[in-house]
Amino acid sequence: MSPLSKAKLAREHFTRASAAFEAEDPVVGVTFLHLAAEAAIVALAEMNGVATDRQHWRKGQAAIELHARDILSVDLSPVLELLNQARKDAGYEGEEPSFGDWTPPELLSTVEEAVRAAEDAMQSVEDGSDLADHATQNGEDVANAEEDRVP
Amino acid sequence: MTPTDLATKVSDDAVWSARLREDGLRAATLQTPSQRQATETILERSLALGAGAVALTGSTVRARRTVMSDLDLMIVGQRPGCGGVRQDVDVYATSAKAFWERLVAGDDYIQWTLRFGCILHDEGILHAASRHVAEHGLTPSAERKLIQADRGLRLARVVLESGDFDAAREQCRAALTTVARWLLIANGVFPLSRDELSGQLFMLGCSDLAAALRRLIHDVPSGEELRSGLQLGQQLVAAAA
Repeated sequence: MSPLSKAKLAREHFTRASAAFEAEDPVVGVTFLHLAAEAAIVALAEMNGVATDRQHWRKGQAAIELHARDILSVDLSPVLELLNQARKDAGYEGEEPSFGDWTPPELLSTVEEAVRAAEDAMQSVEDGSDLADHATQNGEDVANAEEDRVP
Repeated sequence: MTPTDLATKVSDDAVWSARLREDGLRAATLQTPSQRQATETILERSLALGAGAVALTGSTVRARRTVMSDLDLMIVGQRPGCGGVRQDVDVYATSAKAFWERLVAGDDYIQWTLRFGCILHDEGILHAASRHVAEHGLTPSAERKLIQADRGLRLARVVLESGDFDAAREQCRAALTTVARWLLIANGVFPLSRDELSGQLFMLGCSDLAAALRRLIHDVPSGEELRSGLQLGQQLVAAAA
């Protein structure tokens, strides 16, 4: 999956998480909030040349690096760890997930910031590629015009 | 305490001490250096928080890790942070009260850890729990596992419907593993580690579930295969209900 698709996926998962928390289904909520956070980190990491892979702890490492490089204003790694463990515990015991000192609205807001950062980065890439397409198109027009001039 | 009781207690304590020594050596042998480092870090952090017990558990202690295996630890006490740990770690942390409630209710994870886990630290609760299991002939509760299986299937279906197949594979793997464990427990078989479950299911005659689980562990099944796997799990669970 491309980083652009990952950024879109992050938003979709975030929307599902918000809806689940609103519907008082915290097990589904925490599952999708974790997915949203990870997708946002992977999107940003890939757009910025930071390595990630399938393992959850590597996404935590990527979150630390994204923060160190000022790509993300907060270090999302403790939130990733918290959500990963909370979704496993909640899925296993079916109990209300435990978020420690965090409230669900605080977690939603923190993750949404990362999702927005991924969307902004995606937008920049798309704008850049639009400009590149535009430049390519202009180049082709010039080339075509030059061809026209060839006797 | 009668002389016989005293002799039994002394012998029981000696057996437990020997197990702890052996478990320490076994844990060291079964882990790679980076896994050992991760376990050591979690153990130190748990002890600093006053943990009553810490055990290494899961596929690592059965020497049956797969590419997606976490390093599983069970802690009786507060959950330590895993920041800076360079491994995927799954920490099952519980208070002493909840530990006993779950043990008595037939929680299979606790019984599994008592049976196969490497006990790294115990201030007496795991010893007492092991004695309790032996004295009462405690076995895992199929009813409890069925509830977990049903919940896991529901969650996996919701994630699958989102269209994120990478995430759905992880959820489906967890759900079908729980269905497999429930089925084995319900048939009087103690479930082993995840990668051993397919073999146990084949022996039980559940070859479809065995194949679906095996594929989820070792391959990359398509969305359609995930759907079929969940459907199979749901049929089995619905038949029991």
